[in-house]
Amino acid sequence: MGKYILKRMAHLIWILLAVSFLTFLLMYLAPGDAAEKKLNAQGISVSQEVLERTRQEMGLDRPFLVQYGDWLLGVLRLDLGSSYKDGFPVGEKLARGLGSTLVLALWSLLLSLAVALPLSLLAALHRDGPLDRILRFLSFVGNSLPGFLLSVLLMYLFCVRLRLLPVLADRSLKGLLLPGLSLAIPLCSRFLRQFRAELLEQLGRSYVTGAVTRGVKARYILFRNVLRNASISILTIVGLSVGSLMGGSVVIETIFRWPGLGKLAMDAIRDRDLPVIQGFVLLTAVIYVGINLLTDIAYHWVDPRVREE
Amino acid sequence: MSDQTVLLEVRDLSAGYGGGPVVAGISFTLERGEILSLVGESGCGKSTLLRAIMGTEPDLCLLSGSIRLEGTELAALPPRERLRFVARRCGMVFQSPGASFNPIRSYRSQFIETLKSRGKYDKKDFLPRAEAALLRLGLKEPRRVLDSCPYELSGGMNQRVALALALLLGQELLLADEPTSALDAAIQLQAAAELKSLGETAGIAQIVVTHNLALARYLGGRIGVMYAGRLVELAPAGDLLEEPRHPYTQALLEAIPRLDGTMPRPLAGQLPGEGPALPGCPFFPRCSRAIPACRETPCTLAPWKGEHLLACCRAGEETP
Repeated sequence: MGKYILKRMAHLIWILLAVSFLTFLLMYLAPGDAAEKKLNAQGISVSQEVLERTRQEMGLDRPFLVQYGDWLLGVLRLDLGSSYKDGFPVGEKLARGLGSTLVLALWSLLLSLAVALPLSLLAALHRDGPLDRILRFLSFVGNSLPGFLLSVLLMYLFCVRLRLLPVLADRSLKGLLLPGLSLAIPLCSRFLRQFRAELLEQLGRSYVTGAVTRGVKARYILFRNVLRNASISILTIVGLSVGSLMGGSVVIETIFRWPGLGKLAMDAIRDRDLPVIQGFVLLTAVIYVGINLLTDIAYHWVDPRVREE
Repeated sequence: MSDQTVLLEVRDLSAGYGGGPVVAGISFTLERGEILSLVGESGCGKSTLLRAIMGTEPDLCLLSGSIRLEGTELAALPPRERLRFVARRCGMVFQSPGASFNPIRSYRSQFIETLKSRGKYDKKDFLPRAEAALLRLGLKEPRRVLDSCPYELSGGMNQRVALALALLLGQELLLADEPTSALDAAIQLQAAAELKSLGETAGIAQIVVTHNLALARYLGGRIGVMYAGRLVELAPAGDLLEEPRHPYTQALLEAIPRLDGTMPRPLAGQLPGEGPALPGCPFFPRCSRAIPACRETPCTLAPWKGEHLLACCRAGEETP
């Protein structure tokens, strides 16, 4: 097991190299100029001369590979550099964003799981019954609504019409409600469909028929057998979603002005703030790989067949 | 019927999945400890008959007739109660051994939850009893078997574990659907011997569905031959194989490959498809000895000689 984790960590290094190189290249090729943005942000009127000097100070006039190598050396010294825009260390900015995103992601994940798990079980048990039909319809709608539309609709309903919640979210429980719901509704809809399909698949397996013919209680069949076997797939589904939640939902965070990773990245891209973008990409890659690794470890724990390999 | 020796009595049973009957007019009785083998080609309704008795499939409905288990009419019970009643008395052995257990949980936990569900779990004597049952079925390391998951054991071992659980539960009837066909030839005989000994020494009655006439002969007891959802001949194994009376049984025996080099004679034609059944003998279109009357005259299983029952309107005549 330990060896396996080390091997996966070694893979991570290659992934990080590739990802950071590609983003660096893309940002280098993209139009727009960090020096100009920086000067604009400081309110300085820009002459060509000043611009050239600032580019030199920022090292933007050097060849691409030198710039990338310089950045990479910094990373090896655990220095992600500082933001072009405000000079804050990138590491600090990311840590703050990650904290906010973590709160939002966990909250919407727990909400989705708490709703989707029991409901999908009920739907699978009463397949094609009225509850199953209603849930299938709702999850279809929830799946089809794009996040930006959903969040605007929620804002309109709760903030403008009912005046129950503030438009701009803060990190209070009230502030968490709308961005959390905007993320949780599509997620929960997806979970419902996927969990239901997996549970139905397990319920159709011969071990269920076998247990029924042996007279095993329904409670044991469901909770000790069906749910346990289904949890292998459910872990995969959840793991993949956590990855994208942790990357920060750019749209939702921007709409609610939630100071998470997604908004940080969005702003950084607008400002051509290369060090922040690079830091974000690295962090996201680490999170994705880390969560995949955690999912695999969870397999080992649930499924003895994997344990042996 | 309050006869103590009769365990199961099936009378004029018809059952099917929504459409027409898949099995029709089935009647037989089974005594305690008796083995009945059901043979016939694929699609003749052997497995459907087993499932109709077990009652686990909600789609499979009894259309008419009665099934009495220990004198209780199953058709009269509501589905849940029926299932509980049958599960307490009957075990089922499936074609793919081990498939009736959760592949990734240990046998120990699955044994315990089965016993608990049936109110038969006693923490103190579980282990010795389970080990004794497994040992009795020739599993040398019962402790290791209990701690294994089904996916870790071979087909033959899984089959024996399933039988051991039936023994542990004190089941009175085993319904076995092709219990040996998924096993290697080398362990088929062993599995058959175990089934036979469960009947002889533990008094567990069995209905064994099989394609394998050699298995049916080995198991002894009686053999029922099914064709197109009907029971066409039912007799003690020896009688049936030595003196087959129904043209279908004869054709079935001739279709078996032999080691002495005689070529088997395959039976021409096909099982009747769906649609309204013929009023007369279902085997009429393929029968070499059919006379026009066979088309119209319904034939039911009737004694031909002693315990040898036959459903053929030419039963009284000598074989040419």
